[in-house]
Amino acid sequence: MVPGARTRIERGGRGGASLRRLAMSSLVILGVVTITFAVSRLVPSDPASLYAGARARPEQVERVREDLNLGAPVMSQYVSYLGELARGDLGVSFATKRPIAEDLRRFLPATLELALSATALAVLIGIPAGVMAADRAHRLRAVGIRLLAVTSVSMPVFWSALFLQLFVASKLEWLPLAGRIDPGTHFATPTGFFLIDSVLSGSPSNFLDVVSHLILPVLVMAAYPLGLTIRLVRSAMLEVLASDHIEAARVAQVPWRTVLWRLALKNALLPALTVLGLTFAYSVSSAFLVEALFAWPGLGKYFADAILRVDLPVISAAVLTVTVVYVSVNLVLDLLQIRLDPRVVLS
Amino acid sequence: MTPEPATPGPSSGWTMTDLLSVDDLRITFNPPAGPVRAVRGVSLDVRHGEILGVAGESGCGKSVLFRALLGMVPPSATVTGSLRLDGASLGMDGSLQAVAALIQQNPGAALNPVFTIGRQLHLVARTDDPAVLADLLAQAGLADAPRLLDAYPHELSGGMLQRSVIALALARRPRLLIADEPTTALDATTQAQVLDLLGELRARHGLTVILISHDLAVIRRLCDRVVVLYAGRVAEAGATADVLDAPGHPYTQALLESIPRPAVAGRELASIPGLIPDGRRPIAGCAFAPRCPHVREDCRSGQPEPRPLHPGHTVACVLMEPPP
Repeated sequence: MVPGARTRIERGGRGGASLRRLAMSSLVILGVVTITFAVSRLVPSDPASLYAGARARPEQVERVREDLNLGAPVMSQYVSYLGELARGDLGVSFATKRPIAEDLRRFLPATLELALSATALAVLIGIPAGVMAADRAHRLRAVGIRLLAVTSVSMPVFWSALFLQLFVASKLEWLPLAGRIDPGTHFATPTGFFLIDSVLSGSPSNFLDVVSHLILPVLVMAAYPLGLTIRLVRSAMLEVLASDHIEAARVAQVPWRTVLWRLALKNALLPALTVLGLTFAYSVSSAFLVEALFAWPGLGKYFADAILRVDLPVISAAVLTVTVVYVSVNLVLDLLQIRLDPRVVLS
Repeated sequence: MTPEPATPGPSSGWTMTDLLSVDDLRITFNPPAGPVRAVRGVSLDVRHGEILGVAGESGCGKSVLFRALLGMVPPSATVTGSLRLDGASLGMDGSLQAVAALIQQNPGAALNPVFTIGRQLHLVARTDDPAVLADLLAQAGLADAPRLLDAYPHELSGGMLQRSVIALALARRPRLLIADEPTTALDATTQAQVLDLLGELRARHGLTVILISHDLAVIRRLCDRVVVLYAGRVAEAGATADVLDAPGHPYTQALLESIPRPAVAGRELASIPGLIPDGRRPIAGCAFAPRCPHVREDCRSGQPEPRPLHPGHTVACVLMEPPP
């Protein structure tokens, strides 16, 4: 059909395409590391005096400058910074003097647990709901789903969070108000993902405790991506359903269920996938509000505090973390797209 | 193979030789801007084992006519008229799909881009026996069938795609193939091959074929009979040789004159002046009158009904009648 398509496949193949995406992702991360490093050296505040504190004497500031190797040429600082990153060393917080990598190990799983659960919910409900919303055979159901989609997209996080806390947690007392687990619950947390850790602990009550704490914040966080997924999948489905090959399948009396859920959906998932990556990024970046409202010990509050204190290494680590999450998600989606769509072999 | 013109022509009701009989079909689309009359009373018969050509320029209603018979027009469209299969009345709700297959114009779009040819054949044929599926491809003239089962549409050439589409159409053992401009998107060599294939399939399986085409050369090559549509009505119908060699309707004559011929290279190509009428406006009298070189006073009043020119050849034109 497209004359160039075949030759490109012969040259690169799907494996080649995947490798290219991987190389591109590494380049993006290196670029962001370079920029955050440059910015942290360009901001009009002296890292040494920030580290030493407001009441430090000049000679103390100078000692810090030497300790942190801030007097060295910028290039050599950059190289040693890259070396530390490669070893997994993100430096030390100016404010707390704690190793940032250790803090991240504590806070990152909490945020990821929230964002991943919310995205999983949005995708697992959103895709089938989007398909149903495009199904003209069940008009009423489709209208109901579209109404749900508009509602969940337009509900502000702070409003839905407060509403659920007031109604479900305080009034009905069905679910806990805030936090990750009950203060009385204790179990080992080797992964930091409490869902996994509670299963590893072998006690069903631990698991139920974790799940009951997750439900409200996940619902709040999933609302926007859910509505977006429904609308995206619906519009992609409507476009695919109007195409010739669907008409052909219908005339060939392929059952409507098969037409909708297999023949059309696989086509419709492709355009939807790309944007789903963005909704995950949205979840991570909107985590701060949800974490604040539900007293969730995640990255959001940690990073917000760092920004208020101009804690440069933590800010750099924050940018890097968000970048890595973002790039990884998009990489996974790209690889998925290569698997789903035989035609995708982009250069 | 040309069937005897046993009936006075299309629109004469069902006879023993008819597979399909359409009577007074009218299709109106109802967009918010107002109704569009796409088909305005078409009657035609399709005989067992024949290849019937349906000719007409873009917008004359030829594609939508057969989509309506297959139950594939949007539910908002109004479809009236009657359809009979082997003499038995049939609803235009998709019932015809049980015996008919559709071959679409653009083979690149007619196949699902994200499933292999084998997978698509499997879903339509309702068997995953690779031997059966490969045999379908072989019947459509694809030599390397087993390998093609694992191919995606974008890996195939236009001709291979159209043969795959034909294999899909054969998968459900239809009695009737409705081919909507099956060769328009193909190059000349492939066109000839695909047309020959349709002829072979008719001969081998006793299939009845409806070939929708704006290309009279294609119709002359393959069809036993031809129906010429203009503005949603039948202008002329009859055996291909009769209609194309001695056309009775000025529209058919004009269509034939606009076929490019190497023998008259250098002379300007004839074209029909004007445009087809707008389906949104009511048409008084003959729809072709504004473009007709032989237009008379009585053309503007009353729609001409099909009249036999000779047995099996009908023309809907006032020229068939004595001047008032």
